[in-house]
Amino acid sequence: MEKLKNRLLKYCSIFFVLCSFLFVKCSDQSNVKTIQPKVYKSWAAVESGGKNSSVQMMMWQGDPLINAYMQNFVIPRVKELYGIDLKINPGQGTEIVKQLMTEKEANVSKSSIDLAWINGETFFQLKQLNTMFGPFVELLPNSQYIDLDNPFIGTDFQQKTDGYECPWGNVQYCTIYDSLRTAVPPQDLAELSHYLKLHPGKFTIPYEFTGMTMLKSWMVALSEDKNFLNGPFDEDKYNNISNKLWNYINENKQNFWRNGKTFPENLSQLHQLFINHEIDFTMSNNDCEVDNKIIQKLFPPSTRAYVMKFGSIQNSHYLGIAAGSANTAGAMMVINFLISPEAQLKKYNPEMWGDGTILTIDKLPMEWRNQFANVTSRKYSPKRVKIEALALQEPDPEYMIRLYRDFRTKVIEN
Amino acid sequence: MKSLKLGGIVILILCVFPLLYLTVLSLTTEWIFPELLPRALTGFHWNFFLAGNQSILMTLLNGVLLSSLVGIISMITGFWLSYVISFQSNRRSWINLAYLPYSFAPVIYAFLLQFYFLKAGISGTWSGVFLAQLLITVPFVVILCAHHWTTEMKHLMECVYSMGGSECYAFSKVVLPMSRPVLLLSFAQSFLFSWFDFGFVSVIGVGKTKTLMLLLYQYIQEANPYIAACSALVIILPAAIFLIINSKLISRMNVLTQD
Amino acid sequence: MFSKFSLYFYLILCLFPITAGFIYAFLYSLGLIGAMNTGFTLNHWKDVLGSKELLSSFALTILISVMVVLASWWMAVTILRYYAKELTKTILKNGLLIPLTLPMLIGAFIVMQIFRSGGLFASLLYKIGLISSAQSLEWVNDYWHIGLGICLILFTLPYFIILVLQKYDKHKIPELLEINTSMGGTKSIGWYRIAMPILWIETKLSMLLYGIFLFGTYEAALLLGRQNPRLVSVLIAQKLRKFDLQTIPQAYVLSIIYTLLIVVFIYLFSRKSYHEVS
Repeated sequence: MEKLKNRLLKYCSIFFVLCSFLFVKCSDQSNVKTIQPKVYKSWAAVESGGKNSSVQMMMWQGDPLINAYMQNFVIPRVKELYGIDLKINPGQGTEIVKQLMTEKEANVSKSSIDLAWINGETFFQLKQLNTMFGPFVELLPNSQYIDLDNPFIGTDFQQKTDGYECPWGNVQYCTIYDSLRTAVPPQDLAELSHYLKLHPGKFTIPYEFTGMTMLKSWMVALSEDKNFLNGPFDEDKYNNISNKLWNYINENKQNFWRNGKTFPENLSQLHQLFINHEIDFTMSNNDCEVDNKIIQKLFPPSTRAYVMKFGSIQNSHYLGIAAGSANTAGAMMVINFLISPEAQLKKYNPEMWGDGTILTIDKLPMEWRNQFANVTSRKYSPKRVKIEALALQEPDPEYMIRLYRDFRTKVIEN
Repeated sequence: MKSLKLGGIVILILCVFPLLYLTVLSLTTEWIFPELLPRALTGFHWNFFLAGNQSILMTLLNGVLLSSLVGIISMITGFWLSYVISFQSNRRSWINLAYLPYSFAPVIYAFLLQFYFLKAGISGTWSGVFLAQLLITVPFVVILCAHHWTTEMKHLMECVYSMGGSECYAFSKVVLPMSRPVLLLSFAQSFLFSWFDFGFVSVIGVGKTKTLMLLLYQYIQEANPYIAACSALVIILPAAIFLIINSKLISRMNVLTQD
Repeated sequence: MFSKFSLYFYLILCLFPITAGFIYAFLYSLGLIGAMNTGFTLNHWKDVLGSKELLSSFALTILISVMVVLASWWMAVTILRYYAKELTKTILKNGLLIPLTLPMLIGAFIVMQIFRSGGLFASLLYKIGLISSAQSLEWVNDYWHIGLGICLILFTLPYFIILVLQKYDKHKIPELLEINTSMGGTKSIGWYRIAMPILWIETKLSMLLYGIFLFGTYEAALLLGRQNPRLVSVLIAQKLRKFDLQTIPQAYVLSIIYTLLIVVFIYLFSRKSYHEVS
């Protein structure tokens, strides 16, 4: 037994020393290989590099409609047009960040991800880590149809995209209700308070991305200034307005679902409470969600969506390329296809996905303009033109970080 | 079923109920409080589910191949190691070492190993996932087989040696036939671990090694409950069939060895 | 020679991944490595050790694991006592295997669907007249972790039933109980003084392993557990995966504490078992 213990100690010490040496070497940033992205001087150069290649794309695969769009349309189409073998791997936000971060720590020169579907918080984190390839957006032929000066498209969580990520779709937050149960949904926070008093237990806030997005619009509502959260993070602004927010929530908490003692951790849970009539409102960052969910027979046909009069966050979602990608050319070709009028039109159809387009319709050739005009209209979701005027910009990512943290300490643990 | 007492029937129903519930949930579009049964049955959600997942068959085959290999290698390696350990004087300490891989929180273990797999250049590969899963299943098989090496078994082997047989002969003619049930059990447990693994496949494999659990995990966590039910059934049914076949084989082996 | 090589291989297999992972987590938690590292710091350790949730999280997780293991064992042994013959029938043996084919995520999903307010069980109670509304039944994300307990027991129980049945046959307990009866002992005495101690000793290590497995349970805790305090695995995962990259070192601190606790527990338990066997 003693012999075994001594042997174990000996091997552990040797291994510990080796590992520490390995790590010290790795943590020395001067040793980190700086990845030099390949510079493409023209689209022809991109095409010659990317055709007949394989591209690894990481994206969220939690929606059957989106998966069907990618599997049944995008993958065969890029194969047909460019000979590109697009392989999709499941992963979202933090998984993408963790993967690229660990690759950087391990000094890996070739990333396992070429292209990723990302949104503002992921872009923020990847920028911090310096693991994004670019700028590349201007090189894409189809980017001519995108208005990158539009603050809802060219700016992501108050950060200029600077060509490091390409907009793919655009959505606006909506509150969802059942018109048969709620004849007149509340239009502002005062009306919501009143509604909660009359219908206790019929509302809750999911402790996840969409719920925090809603809280950002509530902060704007409480500030009574549409542009209150624009610009870089402001500690004083945040402290001031968040106090009002937590006070509002805590004052109304006893009328929340389960008396505000617990909050759903994901959106599907929230939707399920809504379907079961336990709550009267659910929500989505996608303003076409109601059509999607009715098509999927999850929501009843009486479901509708709306934006409260103080507005809601509109933002775009994006596609980024990993700095260590071995096939940046192929990734760019896939992205160029995904922002093409053909792919955007297909995605725009509520029966396919219903995702808002990032293309400026007026910039498109006439044939495409007509097709966009004739696409199957939304039946149940609000028309974008009606809610556009209520769009609020996505604030600095630090507001989201603080909201996540403080919701736990000031609401859940309160 | 008739020969079962009421208690036995209740236990059987409780065991089978999850599968039945999932099946009904996957075939309905509306099942809300306070209804005990759904309003109508339809294949609608299966159509939706399959439309977005046409590669299910290939993924299933890939998963079976990966899990089978993990099962076979774990079974052989773990069995051999447990045999070697059983002859050590401080046997119990050696067996206790097999518990160490379980001392890390599963949610984080894959992340901790990811760095090393990246350095070794096997992250995002089939072999990386295979190796990572073996790190868990081989020690588990050692634990399972540890108590198999009884004094009786050792005496039988000594009998063979005393009659001039080699270690190889003792193994092939005595040990292996007697060990078939535990070998099959080890294979089954390793297979199931690999089949249901999500952590290593998504982190070490970077989602490139496609298994059913990887493909459908997000559906179960985030999609609507009907699609989640479809996904769950697709994952469970092959495993359930495998386990029942395996159990029948084990029972048959037990009967043969008793004879 | 080959045996020696096998032993070295076994040592490497058991020790090196865990040591390597531990070192990585330890250095990360001290800020010495990591893409966002800023050099040596104890701040992450201070933040975690100073947080209110640490103790409550670990205590809750230990409590739930121990209670589920003990409750499942007791239920398995009780079922064995009254239905030992039934359990030998093929249909039931195969039936018991079915819950073992459920991964935790799916099991938690099923329990959530059935036992949430407005779920199938609530509908049943409503029809019987025991509750008046969906909200009357709060067994998911509830204070007492009823839903989580049901889920974990439903997972553990079939495994323990199979395990105790195996030990019951292996140690010829029915014969021992017959001897007890023939010598004038009651069935109760036979069960509590003969059968249960044997089953307890024989299944202790398996219970420990299962308890460790339950300690690290994630999906069930995420879907069915409370938000405050969170179970350990949920706490670690949420620090690892949240928006703020600065919480990642804290996740590693928690995982080190988790590992040390498990290793100590295994060591203590195995020492006790060793002395008992001796």
